[in-house]
Amino acid sequence: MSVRLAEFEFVRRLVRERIGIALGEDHAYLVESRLAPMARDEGCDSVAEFIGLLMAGRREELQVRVAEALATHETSFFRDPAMFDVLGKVVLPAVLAKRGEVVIWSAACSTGQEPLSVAMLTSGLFPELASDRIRMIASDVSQETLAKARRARFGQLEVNRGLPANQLVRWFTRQGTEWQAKAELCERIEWRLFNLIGSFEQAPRADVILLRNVMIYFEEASRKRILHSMHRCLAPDGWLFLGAAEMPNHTDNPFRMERHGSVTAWRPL
Amino acid sequence: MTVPDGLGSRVLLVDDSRAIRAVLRRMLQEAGFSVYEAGNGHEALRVLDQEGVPDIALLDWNMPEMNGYELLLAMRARPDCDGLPVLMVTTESEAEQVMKALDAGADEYLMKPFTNEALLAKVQLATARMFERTGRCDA
Repeated sequence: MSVRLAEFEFVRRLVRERIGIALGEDHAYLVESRLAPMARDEGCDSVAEFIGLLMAGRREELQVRVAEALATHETSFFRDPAMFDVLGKVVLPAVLAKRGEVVIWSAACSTGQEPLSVAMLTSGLFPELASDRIRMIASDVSQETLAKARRARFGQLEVNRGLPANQLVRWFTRQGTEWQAKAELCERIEWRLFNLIGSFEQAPRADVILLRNVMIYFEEASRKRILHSMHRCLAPDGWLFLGAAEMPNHTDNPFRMERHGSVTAWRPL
Repeated sequence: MTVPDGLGSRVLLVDDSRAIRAVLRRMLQEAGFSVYEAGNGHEALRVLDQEGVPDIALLDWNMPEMNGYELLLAMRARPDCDGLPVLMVTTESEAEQVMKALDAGADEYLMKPFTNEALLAKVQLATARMFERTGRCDA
């Protein structure tokens, strides 16, 4: 039995309230595919029955898991290579020259490819600084996704996407059909559970924030609130990177645009 | 040498499986590449002599007569292939084999199975790595 409109609307509202992500009207397939394993685990014959279960009771922990399951996890190693080029050639040398150390926050790290890519980049460029002067913080809203990121184990399709072969053999070991990132790389990353639409009290203070390809999933009000919160977390001369197609378009945008070739960096006003 | 950006750039595709060549050919042609093919290393060397050096070469590892690794060594020994980006596209997926190919002069390595997007990203990576290696870029 497929998901009916009322059930889909219930899930949309749940996801919006929990993690601020606005599922489009055409995302019913996502609800079906992502919730099917959870429905099976709960002993339900269909996703519709599972949503009925959610609607009937207030199972807090199950609602959190549903919202997290519907967060988008699209990511890959060195996604948008030009951004990594700017990070390595412009941003990090500038911050390190000024302060001798740098804090980088990957604020929606999903399954970990982005912070691992930054850790590989910094280890290659600044081997003598990478472990103590370069602090890499990675956060995500989903406990399950973060657990996968922490495991740092990837299938062949994942390592094929954007990971240069020389980095693969330098930083990963083959384990069965998967590739495991080496401990010396993983140890450079602090993993945190963090909800972008929640409180920023415990948010890191950073010189560089990567918030790429996540704002598009939020509604305008949330986008604005997140950007202002990020502004408070970022050093006054810091750097914010959004996805290539994302830009703050509200009137009191607290960032100015700075172009580096095809890459846009956002600097605090 | 030009940057293989898919806009008419020439790809030499070497794989003994006709079916795999057909899949790869379609992916590459859809991205705008012009593709020519060989079924093993010896045939690939003949194609190179007849057609000239392409903009990028995609080599399978396991092939009869002359395998992809031997072909890679033979290509790297030819002065006309010095700046040729080479991407190994293979089922060989042990770390030692990836290292062996890179040490022999492969610019990138792609393990089967893969997606269309991964293939095109690796073509770009192979080209970038070749530029790093040779310092050449006339595009």
